[in-house]
Amino acid sequence: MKKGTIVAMATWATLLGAALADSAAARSVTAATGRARRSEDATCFDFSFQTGAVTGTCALGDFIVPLFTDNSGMKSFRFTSRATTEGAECRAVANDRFGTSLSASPFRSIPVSSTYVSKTTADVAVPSRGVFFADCITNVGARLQEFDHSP
Amino acid sequence: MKETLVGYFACAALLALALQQTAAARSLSAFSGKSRRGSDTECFSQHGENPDFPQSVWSSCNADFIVPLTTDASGTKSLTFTGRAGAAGAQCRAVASDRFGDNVSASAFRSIPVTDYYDYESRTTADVAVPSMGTFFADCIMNVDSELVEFDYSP
Repeated sequence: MKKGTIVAMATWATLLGAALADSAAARSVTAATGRARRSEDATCFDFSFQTGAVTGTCALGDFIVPLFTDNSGMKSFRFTSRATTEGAECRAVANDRFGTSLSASPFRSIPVSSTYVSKTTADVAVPSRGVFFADCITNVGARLQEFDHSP
Repeated sequence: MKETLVGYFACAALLALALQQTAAARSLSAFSGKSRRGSDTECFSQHGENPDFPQSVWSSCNADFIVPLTTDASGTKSLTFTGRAGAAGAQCRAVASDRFGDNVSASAFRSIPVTDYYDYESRTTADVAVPSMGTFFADCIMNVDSELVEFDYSP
């Protein structure tokens, strides 16, 4: 193979690698994609028309955010949130599609803060064709803005 | 020189294929949306010409409805929405922000066209700036008898 051909292929391979790397980057999901875990709590959550942020309006409400995955593996997620009082928290949960291989991280608190703060959960084992989601316990004033994870 | 050109063309084809996969349009049913205020949850229901195959979200109130959109890359993005309304006043816009709720970017509202039942039309918003790891969603002000079917955008 001639030197010119090798140079050309190496150049394009670099560009191809960059394109594929971009598609494998972290996935961002607005909290607004989630929903109340119990249907009777559907009235406990409001959404911002400016940021999509979810705000809890009940003393206690569960909110789950399904996360899309492309591959199995150990996965954590980073959530960006804030609260007005202690007690709100989120964890990562995974399971296989038959509901028989549960993996859950410890809860991490939603910080009491006037500005949004990002926190990362511990890893959970997401099986092939499994489910992966954020499980959050919210209180009045708890706000969830965004979730990042490796798909 | 000829072999070099062949090498470039072969690899360019692979690159184009990779980019095509990431740049394709994403379509999302309006069923993935929700009432913006929890207290308005009962305002929205599924609707269709055939009740066994609902095709739109139908509003029975004057209330806000949002549709969260998942993105794969940052950039300026517009939104094409398809729906209809029974009276003027219903409208949608595209909204984006970063994950800290800052850098809000919102397009002007575009009206949901007033048409007959099942005569849906599409409208496209202006671009908004979606940051890396940011949020992107449709923000719609619905009125009585307005409907939303589908949203299209570049992820």
